[in-house]
Amino acid sequence: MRKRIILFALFILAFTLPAAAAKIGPFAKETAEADGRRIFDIAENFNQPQQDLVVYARMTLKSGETVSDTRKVILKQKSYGALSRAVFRFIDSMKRGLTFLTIETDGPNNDQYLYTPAIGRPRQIASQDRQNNFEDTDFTNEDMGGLKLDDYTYSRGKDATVEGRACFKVTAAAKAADARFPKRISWIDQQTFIPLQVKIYNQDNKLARVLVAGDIRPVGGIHLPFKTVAKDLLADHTTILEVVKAAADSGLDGQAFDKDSMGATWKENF
Amino acid sequence: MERKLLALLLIVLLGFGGFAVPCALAAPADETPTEDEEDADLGDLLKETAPAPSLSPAAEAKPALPLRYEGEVRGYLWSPSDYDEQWHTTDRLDLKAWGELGALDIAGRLKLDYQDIEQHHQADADLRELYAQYPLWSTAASRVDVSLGKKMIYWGKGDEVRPIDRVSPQDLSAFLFYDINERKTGRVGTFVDLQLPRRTRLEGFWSPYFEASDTPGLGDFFEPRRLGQLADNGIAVGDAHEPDEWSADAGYGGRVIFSVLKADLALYAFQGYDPNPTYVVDRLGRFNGLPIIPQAVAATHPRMTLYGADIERTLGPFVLRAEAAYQPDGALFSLDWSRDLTLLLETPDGTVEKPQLQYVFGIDKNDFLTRNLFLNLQFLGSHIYDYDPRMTADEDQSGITATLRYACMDSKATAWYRYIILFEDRDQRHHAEIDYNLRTWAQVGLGAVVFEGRDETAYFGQYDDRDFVYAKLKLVF
Repeated sequence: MRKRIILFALFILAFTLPAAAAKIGPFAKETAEADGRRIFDIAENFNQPQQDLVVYARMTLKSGETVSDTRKVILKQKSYGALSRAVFRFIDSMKRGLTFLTIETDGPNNDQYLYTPAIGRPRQIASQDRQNNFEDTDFTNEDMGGLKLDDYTYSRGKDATVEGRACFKVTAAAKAADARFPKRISWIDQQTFIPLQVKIYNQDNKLARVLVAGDIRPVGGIHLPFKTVAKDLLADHTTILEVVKAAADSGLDGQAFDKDSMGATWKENF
Repeated sequence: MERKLLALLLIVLLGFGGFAVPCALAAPADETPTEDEEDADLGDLLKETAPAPSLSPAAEAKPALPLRYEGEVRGYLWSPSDYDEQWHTTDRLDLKAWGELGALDIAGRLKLDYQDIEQHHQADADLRELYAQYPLWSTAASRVDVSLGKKMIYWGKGDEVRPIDRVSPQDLSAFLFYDINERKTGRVGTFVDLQLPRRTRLEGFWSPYFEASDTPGLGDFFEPRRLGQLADNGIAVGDAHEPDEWSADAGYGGRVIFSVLKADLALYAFQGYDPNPTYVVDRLGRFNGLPIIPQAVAATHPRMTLYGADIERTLGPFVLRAEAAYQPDGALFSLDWSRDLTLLLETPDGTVEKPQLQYVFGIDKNDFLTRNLFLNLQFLGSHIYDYDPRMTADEDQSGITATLRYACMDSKATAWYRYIILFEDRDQRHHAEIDYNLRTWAQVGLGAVVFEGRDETAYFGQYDDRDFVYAKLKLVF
């Protein structure tokens, strides 16, 4: 009997999310706002692991065409009921041990902490710094998990093809008048709900940053882009994140997801 | 002094001004990007390539071991100071290793020091940590871990000044040259860590072993001036009165951590022998039959009780922090018996015990004014309750610390400046450093430390003639 229940649960899990995606009909102006939000709602949960996820990646920073630094990073994510926590650590170079923790909350802001070995204690990240760059990368704290869907209003545009894949196009406008990046346009893969391309505009409505994801592969029951490139167009600076390996639901230890354990050693390595 | 101040100024300018120029040049002007085709496919960006990683020689040669390790070597070469006109060196190998043994997590940390600024123990090895941790119980939302061995304890939220962080002994032989976490060594004992739902955590420890902090003594580069004055006046410095190494009540304490309305809070308590020494009069000679002539002083480690609390919360673009420690007993303060020897009739050891409060309020700002510039400002103070005017310490003390840290060229170059002033004696220390990463595993740096103060026995003022500039080499593996 129990096996049947598990089988049923797996069946539901496998088919409900694509079914939800399927409910999003063709583009229509009248439902553009509701559709835009719904696409983001689905995308937010579509590739969440059931329990946890660990990603081993190599980060390359480029200033113009010159490679300025390469670093190994490990990203771990763990589900806590409907909420999740993610922790990111540089594991080599002079940045070794620098750890960034995001704790998803029900409130208006997620909590983020940065642990720098030289300082020796976790420091909170001010919510107003959400759109600031994470360290010297081209990702913002928001990209690192600080994004709250309610901070934006959404509008779906005409579907488009990116990298040969059918995508939903959604424009998100920040509700905060002083947002550093008030507009982001995302092209979200209709199959995997991975944002394949994001264009981010500054307060002058100039295209300031772009994020591009590719080489999408299944990992456990979810999909993961094995290559992500973020580029600051104004500074001509690029961050390339290439996944070396990844595993979902491997039974990660929960200890690393506590702010007071951010300085602790990790078992994971590559 | 002026020479070192000039060096400090140069380092600060180089760090915060000089770096800004190449960094600004590296970043193109904020010009309008080319006409943007909103729907343009940017897939070509995925063709951006990354080179094969360049590993440190040590990393490439890493053998397959049942444990993981990492470490760093740091060497400093100091310029001669007015104090002794000699070059000095401070060097450290810090090695960390960890692994699993069945259900046990094993971790250890060892440091090897060589520094020629002490009369004795120029070379020193310290096993800073070695412990085994066992997960006693674990569910999705809570867990209990028990550790046994030697482990460092990190308490408080202050930046370098942490009134509550007094549990782990420290190596103070290089005075404030190393940061607080780098000065620490662990406590031997049993540690319990209980993580509960709703971001609540309880930690407790019992340490039956006492280890004193390593402090500079007579003849050392950072010899405390007061100690030197006593020696100059023929007063001997006797052996330290340390409690038994092993005793059931050497130290125990704990903290509870929780969050309320986005504020991170912690409450602390500790009872045990103070790892840091207080000097007391150890032997008295007689004058006209009265025992009022101090013949020797010695370090002692009184039992202390410490209660503390700290809080951290973001407020707009700032992060606010506060930390306080109240010490109802175990805080000994010297009486001014050098001016009035009859004080020793009433208090033969020359000290009185008073309750004390120490506190820090701080503010942090990331990306202050420009990207990658971090600012930390702190107000710090202390108050002695039931103050006795015959004491040498002030009833109230206050000061400010400031830290500026800037990184550019993708953190290849970093500069930082840390300043502390204690108002009562205009006691100050400037410390600036600029670093450049030659490789991902090699860094060189240049820095300067300047002490100032109007009182030659004050905290920093006593080292007024010991300003120095230094060159640094750091290798990580």
